[in-house]
Amino acid sequence: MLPYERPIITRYNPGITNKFGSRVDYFPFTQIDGVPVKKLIEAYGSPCFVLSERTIRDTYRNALRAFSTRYPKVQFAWSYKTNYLNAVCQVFHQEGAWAEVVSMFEYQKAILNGVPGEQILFNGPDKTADDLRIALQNNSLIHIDHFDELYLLSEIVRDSGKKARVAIRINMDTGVYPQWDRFGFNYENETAWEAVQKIMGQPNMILTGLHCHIGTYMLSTRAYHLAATKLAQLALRIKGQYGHRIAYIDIGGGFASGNTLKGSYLQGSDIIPTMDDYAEAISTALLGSGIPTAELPSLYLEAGRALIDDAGYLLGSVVAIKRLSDGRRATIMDFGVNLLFTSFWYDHRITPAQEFSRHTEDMVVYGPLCMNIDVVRENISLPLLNRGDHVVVHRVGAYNMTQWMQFISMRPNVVMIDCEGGVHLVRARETVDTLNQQEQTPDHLQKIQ
Amino acid sequence: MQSQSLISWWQGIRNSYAQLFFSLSPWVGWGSIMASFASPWLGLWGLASVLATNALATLAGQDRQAIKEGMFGFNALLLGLALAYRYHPNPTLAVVWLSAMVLLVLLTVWMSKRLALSGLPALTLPFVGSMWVVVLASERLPGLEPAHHFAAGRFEYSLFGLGMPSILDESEHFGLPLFWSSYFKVLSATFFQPKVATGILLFIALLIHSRIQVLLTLLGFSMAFLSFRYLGADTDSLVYQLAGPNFFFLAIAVGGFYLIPSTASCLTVVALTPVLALIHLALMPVLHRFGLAPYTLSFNLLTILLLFLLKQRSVWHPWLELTGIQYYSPEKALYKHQAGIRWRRESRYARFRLPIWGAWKISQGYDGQHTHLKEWGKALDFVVCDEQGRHFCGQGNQPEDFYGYGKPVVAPLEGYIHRIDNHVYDNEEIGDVDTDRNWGNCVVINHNNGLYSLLAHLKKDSIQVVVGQWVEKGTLIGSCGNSGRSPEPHLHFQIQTTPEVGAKTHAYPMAYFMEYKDGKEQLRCFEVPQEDCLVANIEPDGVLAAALRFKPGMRLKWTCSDTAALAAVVEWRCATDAYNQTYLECMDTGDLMWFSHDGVMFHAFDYEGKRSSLLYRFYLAAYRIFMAEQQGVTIHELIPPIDYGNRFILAIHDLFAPFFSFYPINYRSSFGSLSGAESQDPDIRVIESAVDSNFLNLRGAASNSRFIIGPTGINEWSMSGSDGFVASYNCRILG
Repeated sequence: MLPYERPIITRYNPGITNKFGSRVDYFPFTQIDGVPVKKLIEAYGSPCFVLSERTIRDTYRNALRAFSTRYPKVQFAWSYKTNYLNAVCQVFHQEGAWAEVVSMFEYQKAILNGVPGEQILFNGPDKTADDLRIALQNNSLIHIDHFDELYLLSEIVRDSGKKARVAIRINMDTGVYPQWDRFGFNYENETAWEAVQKIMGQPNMILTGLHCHIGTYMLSTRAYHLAATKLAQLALRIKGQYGHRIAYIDIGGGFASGNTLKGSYLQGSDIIPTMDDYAEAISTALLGSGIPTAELPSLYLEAGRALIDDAGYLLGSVVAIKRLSDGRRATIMDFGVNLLFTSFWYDHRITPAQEFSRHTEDMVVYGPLCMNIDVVRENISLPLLNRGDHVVVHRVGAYNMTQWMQFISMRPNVVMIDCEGGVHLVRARETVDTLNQQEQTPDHLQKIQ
Repeated sequence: MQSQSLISWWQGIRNSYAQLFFSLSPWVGWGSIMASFASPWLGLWGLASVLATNALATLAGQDRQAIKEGMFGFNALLLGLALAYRYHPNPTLAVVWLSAMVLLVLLTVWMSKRLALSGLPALTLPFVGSMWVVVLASERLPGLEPAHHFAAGRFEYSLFGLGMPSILDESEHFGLPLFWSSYFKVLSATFFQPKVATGILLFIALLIHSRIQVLLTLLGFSMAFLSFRYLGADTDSLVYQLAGPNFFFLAIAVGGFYLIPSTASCLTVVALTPVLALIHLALMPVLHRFGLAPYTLSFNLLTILLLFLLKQRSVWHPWLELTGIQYYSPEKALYKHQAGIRWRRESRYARFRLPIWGAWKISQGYDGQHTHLKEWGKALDFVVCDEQGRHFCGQGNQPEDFYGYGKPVVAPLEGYIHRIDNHVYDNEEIGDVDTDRNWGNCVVINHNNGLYSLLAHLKKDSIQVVVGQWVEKGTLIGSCGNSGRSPEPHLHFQIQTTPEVGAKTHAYPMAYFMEYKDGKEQLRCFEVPQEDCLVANIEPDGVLAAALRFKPGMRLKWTCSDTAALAAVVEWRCATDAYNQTYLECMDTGDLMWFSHDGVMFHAFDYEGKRSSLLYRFYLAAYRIFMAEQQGVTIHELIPPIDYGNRFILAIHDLFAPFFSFYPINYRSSFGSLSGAESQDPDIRVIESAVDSNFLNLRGAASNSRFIIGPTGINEWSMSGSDGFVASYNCRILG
C-alpha cells in the first residue's frame, strides 16, 4: 500500500503526444548493488556519495576489452583529477591502470597509492622545477606542455645527469569547435615539429611518446580518428627523420559518459558513442597509418569520466517543498551545487528512492545553500515528493568528488559498495574540526573580549 | 701425452669390466676386477684378453672412444674367462686364445655396426659366437684339453686349490638364507667362479654405482629363482656356464639401461624372466648335441627381440620409453628423463600464438558439438564476450551488435599468404548460415614447416594482405566477420597439414597464452585452449628477452664484488653443439649448461658438471624464466633431484624413484621489485628465483637468486643459500 500523497491539480493537456513522454523513471531506485538506499542513509547520513566497485570494474573491463581486442598494446592511465579518492584509484590500479596526474599533489597521491614512478604520466601546464626533479628522479613520463617547460626541464636534466623520458602534448584541428589549442604544441603550424626537433637535439631527453587531449565530452569519434592519424603521421615523420621509434601514442581522454548535457535535445545515453566506437576510430587510424605491425607504438588512454561517472551516486533527501511566485513547484534538497558541481553542465537524472504513484509534477530542484546559483535542475518532472523523502542522483562519479566545495555545508560521507555487497566508508564526512585544524588564530584574537 | 694415453688404456681396461654390468663406474670396474681375480688364474686370463682385444682393436683403427668405454673389452673378458675355465692351460690354448681374440674383434665390429643400423646393440653376441667357434673346433684339436672338472663331467674345479662347490653347499653360505647366498653366488658366477664373498663384493660395488640396478638384479634373480623352482628346473644349474647371469643382464638391460626405469620396465622384467628361462632351457639340450653351451645367448636374443619390438611401435607410447642419451646410470637416465619430458615436448612445436589481440573466449573448442566434428574437429572458434558472458550488446540481431565483429585477426605464426577468399558477403541475419560457402572469406597461411593455418569467416573486404606476401607472427590479416557458415560473428581458426580451404584439421598446441577461468589468471604453455575459456596472448618483454639471449660466440665474464665463496672471476662461453643445442660452457672447469630461448621462455634444460661451479648455480637460478610483460606469473617447476638433492636422501630415494617420487626439488621464478631510485627505471627487470628441496614435508636446503636485468644484459646476480652461501656477481659481455 502506497503512503499518503499530497493532492495536486494537473491541467488536462489535449495536445499531440510527444514520443518521449513526460517522465523516464517509472520505477523507484531503492537499492544500489543490492544495498537498500534507506539503509545507506540511515548508516551514513544524507547527503552521501555512494560508489559501486562492481560498476567501476565492469566499466573498466568493458573499455579495456574494446581497445585491447582491436589494438595489440593498450595501457590505461587513471585520470586522478576525475576522482582521486584513494579507494577509487586503487580499484583502477588493481585492474591494471597506471596513473595520470596534473599536479604534484596528485603525483604524491599516486606514489602513496603505490604506483611505480615509471607508471605515472605527468601532465599539466604548471610543473615547477621541483616537480620536474621528482618526476625525473622517479623516471615518470613527463608530458611537456610548452617551450618554457621544455627549457626548464633541459636545464634540470643537464644538472642531474639523468635521462628524462618525455612526451609532448600536441593540439590540432580535429574538426571540433572550440579547438583546444591552449594546451601543448600546435600540429598544423609546425610548433609540435619544432618541439620534436628541440627534444631530439637533447642528449638527455628521450622522446618516448606523443600525447594529445582533444577535448572533453567528445560526441564525435571522427575527431579521435583524425587525432590518432595525425599523431601516427608525426611518429612516422620522427622515424623517418631521426630513425627514432616512438614508444607510445597517448590519445588522452574526453570520452563522454551517459549524462545529458544541458541544452541537449536527446538523452545523453542515446547520443554518446560507445567505448567500442571510440576504440574503433582510434585503432583503425593507428593500424591504417602505415606503421608496420611489429613497430606499432603502445596506445595510452587517459579516460576518466567515461570510466567512473556511472559508478557514482549521490543520495539526498527533500528538505522542503514550496511554490514559487510564478506558480512553479520548487523542491529543496539537502545537496546543491556545492556537492554536485557537475550540475552546472548536466541535467542530472534524479530518481526517488521510494514507491510513488504515476502522478508527476514539473519542478525546480534547488540545493540547500542560501545562494541564488544553487540550482540542481532548472526543470524536472518528478513524482510528488514530501519532506524527508530520499532521492538518488545518478552518474555523479566524475569530477564531483574533486571539484566539490566546502561552502556553507561540509562534504559528506563517501562510501563504496564492494563486489560482495559490503559497504565501506572511503571518506568520512567533514566536521568543523576539519576546517579548524588548518586555521591558526593569532593570540590577541583568541577571545571575544 | 704419454700419461694421457696410459690413462686412456687403463680406463679402457677398467670400463671393460664395468661394462659387463652396463656401467662405466670405477667402483663397478674395480669390484669386477677384484671379483675376477678371486681365482687369480682366471683373473689373469681375463685381464690378458681385455688387453689383447683393446690392443687389436686399436691396431685395427677402431674408434678410440669405444675402446676407452670398454665396448670391445667386455666381450673379450667373458671369452677369456670362458676359455680359461673350460680348457686346460697349455700352448695350444694360447694359440687358440689369440685366434679367438682376433675373431672376437672381427665379430664385435661387424655385429655392433650391423645391428646399430636398426638401432640395436650387439650385447655379448660376439663372445657367444667366438666361444662356439673355439668349442666346435676343439673336437679336431687334440692339443686342447678340457679342464679337469669338465672331464669329470661335474663341477669340481680345483685349479690352484680353488674349489667349485655346488650352489647348495652349506659351507659357503656365511649363515645367509638360501636366496641370498644363491644370489651372491650367481652374481659372482659372471666371472665363472661362484662364491658368496666375491658376490658380496660385487653387490657393494653395484650398490655404490646404482641402487636401481641392484634392485633390478634382485628382481631378475628372484624371478629366475621362482621360475626355476616352479618350472621344476634345477636351480643349481644357474651357476653353470653363465646361465644365472643371463637373468641379471636381462634385468639390468631391460629394467633400466635400454629403457627408462619405471614400474612398467620392472613389470617387463618380471614378465620376461620366465620367457628367458624357457629359451635357455630350450637352447641347452639343442646346443648340447654340439657340445655347446648357450652362455648368454638367451639374454641376447630376448633383449634384442624386445628392443626391436619397442622400436617398431607405430604410435608414441608413454610406457617403456627408450633411453635417449645413455648416461650409463639408471638413476641419471630416469631423473634427466623426467626433467626433460616437458622440454622435449615443447621443443617439437612451432611457437603458435592466438590469432587475436586482447582477450577472447573460445566459443567452440576441439571436437566441439556444433561444427567441429569428425575430421574437422581440431579447430577453435573465437568470440569476444563481456563480463556477463554475452557476445553482443543491444538487440544482438545484427552483426554490428557483436563485440567480435570487425575486430582484428592476426597471423598466428610467420609464413606466406597462400590463399585468400574474399567474395562472400557477411550474413546480415544472425542465425543464418551459408553452407554453400562454408568457410566464407578466409586466408590460408603457409608456415613453411608443413603446417598451414586457416582463418575463416572474415569480414568481407577487410583482408589486409595479398597472396604471396610474407607475414610475421602478429601481422594484421583482416577482421573478424560473419561470412560463410557462421550463425554469429566469430573467428574460426584451424591448423592443417595441407593447403586446401576446408582440409582436415590437425591438433596442435598454442605455445604460450593466458587463460582466465573462474577469476583466476593462468599461464598455459603448449596446450590447446579449452572451450569456454577466456584466453589472451602474452606479450614478450623485449628487455628480458634481449638480456638472456646468449648468442654463440658470446663470452660472459662474471666478477664477484664481495666474498669470493666461488671463484672471484669466472668466464663462460656460449656455443652451439652438433645437435643444434645452445649451451654455456665454463672456460675454467668445462662445466656445461644447455638452454633454450624462444623469446618468451628461457629454459636451462640440462647441466653437466660439478656442483661447486658458478654455472651450476646459474643453472639452478635460471632453470625456467618467463620473459613476458605479464609480471604476475610465477613459474613452478621441478628440478631433477640428481642435480640438487642431498646425496644420502637421494640414495634412498633412488630405490623408489622408478615407481614414485617423495623428494621433490621445487623451483619457482617470478618478477621481483626493487626499492630505491633504481626501481623507477622502466628498463630494469628483477627476476627472483628459489630452489628448495622437500623431503617428507621437511624443508631442506634452499637457494635463492635475484637477477637485476637491464637493456645491456644481466647487471647483477646475487644469491644466497640456506647453507650460508652468499655471493653477488656482476656480468660483463665480451665480444
